[in-house]
Formats: sequence, C-alpha cells, structure tokens
Amino acid sequence: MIEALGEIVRNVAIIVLLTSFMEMLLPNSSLQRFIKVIVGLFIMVTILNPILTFLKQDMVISSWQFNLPSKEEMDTVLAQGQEVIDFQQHQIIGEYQARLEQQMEAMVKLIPDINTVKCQISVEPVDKIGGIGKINTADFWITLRDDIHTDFLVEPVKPIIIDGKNSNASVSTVIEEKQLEIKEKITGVIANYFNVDKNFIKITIN
Amino acid sequence: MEIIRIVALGLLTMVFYVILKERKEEFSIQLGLAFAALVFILMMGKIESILQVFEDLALQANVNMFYLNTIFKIIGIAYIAEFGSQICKDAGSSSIAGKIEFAAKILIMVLAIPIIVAILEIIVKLIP
Repeated sequence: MIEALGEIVRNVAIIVLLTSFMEMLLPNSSLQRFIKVIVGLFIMVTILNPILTFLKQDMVISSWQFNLPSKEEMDTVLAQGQEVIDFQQHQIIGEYQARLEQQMEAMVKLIPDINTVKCQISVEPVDKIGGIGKINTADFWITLRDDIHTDFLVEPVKPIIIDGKNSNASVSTVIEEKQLEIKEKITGVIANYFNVDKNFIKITIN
Repeated sequence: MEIIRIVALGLLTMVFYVILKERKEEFSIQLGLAFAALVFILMMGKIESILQVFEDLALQANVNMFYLNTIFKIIGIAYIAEFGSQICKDAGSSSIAGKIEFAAKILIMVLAIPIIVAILEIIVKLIP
C-alpha cells in the first residue's frame, strides 16, 4: 500500500512539473486562458486516474491478499508451509510403517509352527499423487514353537553308525529343511501381499 | 548564438517592412509571412527535442499519451493561430484576426472534449 501511494505521489510530482514547463510554452494571446484551463483538466485527469484505480482496488478484498505481502514475506510463508507438509509426510510415513508391520506380523503368525514374530520395514516416500510410500526392505525375527522339533521327530530315524561314530546329521538336516520351508512361506506371503521384492525380505529364525 | 541571428534577421525584416509598408504594402505583408515561416522552421528542431523530453517525462509518470498528444496539438493550434492573427493585425485586418482566434478557440475546445469527458466520468465514478 505504501509503495502504491509513493508511486502516485511521484507521478503527481512529475505531472505537475511537466505541465509547468508546458505553460511556459504557451503563446501570449487571448488563447492562453483556454489552454490553461485545459492543461488544468489534464492535470486533474492524470492525478485522478490512478487514485480512482487505487480506490477501486480497495473494494476487492482478495486483491489486498495478493498485493500486501512482499516477496520476502511470501517466501517465509511458503517455507513454513513446506515445513508443515514435511512434518505431516513424516508422520504419515511413520503411521503407515507401523500399521504395515502389524499387518505383516499378523499374517506371518498365521503360518503354522511360528511362535513369535517381530517385523521391521523401511518405507521410502513416493512423489506420486495418492501414493504414500514404497517398501524397501522387510526384516523378520521369528521364534518357532517349542514342540516343533518333536512334531516332525515323532518317528526319528535310527542313527546310523558308520565306522563306529554316532552321527546326528539327519536331525539337523530335517530342522534346516523345516526352517527353509518356513522362510519360503513367509517370503512368498509377504512378497505376494505387499508387493515386496523377495530379495529384500530378510528372515532370522531364533 | 542562434538568438542573435534571429534578432538580427528580425531587425532587418522590420527595416524592410517599414520601407515596404510606405511604398508597396502588399509586399510588406508577404515579408512578414516569410519571416514568420522562417522563424517557425528554425525553431522546429528545438520544439521536437522539447516534445521528446515531455514524452519521456510523461512515460515515467504513466500519463496516458492520448491526453499528452492532445495538449501538444492544442499548443500547436494556439501558436499557428497566434502567428496568423498577428499577421492579420499587422495588415490592419483585425476582424479577420478575430475570426482566426475564434476558429482556434473552437478547435481547441473540440480537442479538449475527451479530457473534459474523462474528468466527468471520474467525478461520476468517485461519487457513490
């Protein structure tokens, strides 16, 4: 507003100077009075035109909203807005991650022989409209049921004694196979339901 | 110095004018006309530079160039009418000089009509 008023005052000063010089050019005749009147009207028009425009602008409230803040103020407001957006995005991603972890844990728990599941994922924000985030990695820490070993060891294979040495290799192989099977199940479920690359799913069985 | 040349020329013309007025009056009028035209032509370049300065100032002040051109035209009409009426008065035809001034006033008023209309419109807009 001050800038607009300053501009009007500057223009008025220039116009008055201009017309003063013009009056010096007028011929000394009976026509001088006529010309002076018209030059006076010209001054009035040139002064009133910007004032009228200025007053008309006042009536529109929205025009003030766009005119008032200077560039620096607008930049500050925009920066604050960006901070709020970033904070909200961070909160949303955190909430999304927590819920996905809960869902994954619940789904993995449905697989037989699993006792406890702890899941941790990392989510990368996406710029796509409507998108929240893309799952980068999924880590699982699993404990199997205590009775799992006895379940599939109901009929243990009798140890074969070779060269007088007692070997327990068959039991450990079976357990490893069972763990591998569980890992494959978990990987399949998570990869299919949550569209995660199988290579980024890491499972640790305790 | 340009002014010295013009004054010298004016004085010379005045001498010839006085001589011719007594002997051949019709030539004295033509001499006056020729001198007026000569001065006008000599000053033309200066007037152009003055008008250019005015235009630059007006552009800086965001003045509508239509109004400024109108003012320039009015000043031009006033000068031309002044020259004409003075020559007529010198020739002893005051009535013709009066008619020239009358025509100039009317033309000035006609040119001033857009400015008067603009003033009236602004007043009407300002009054609620």
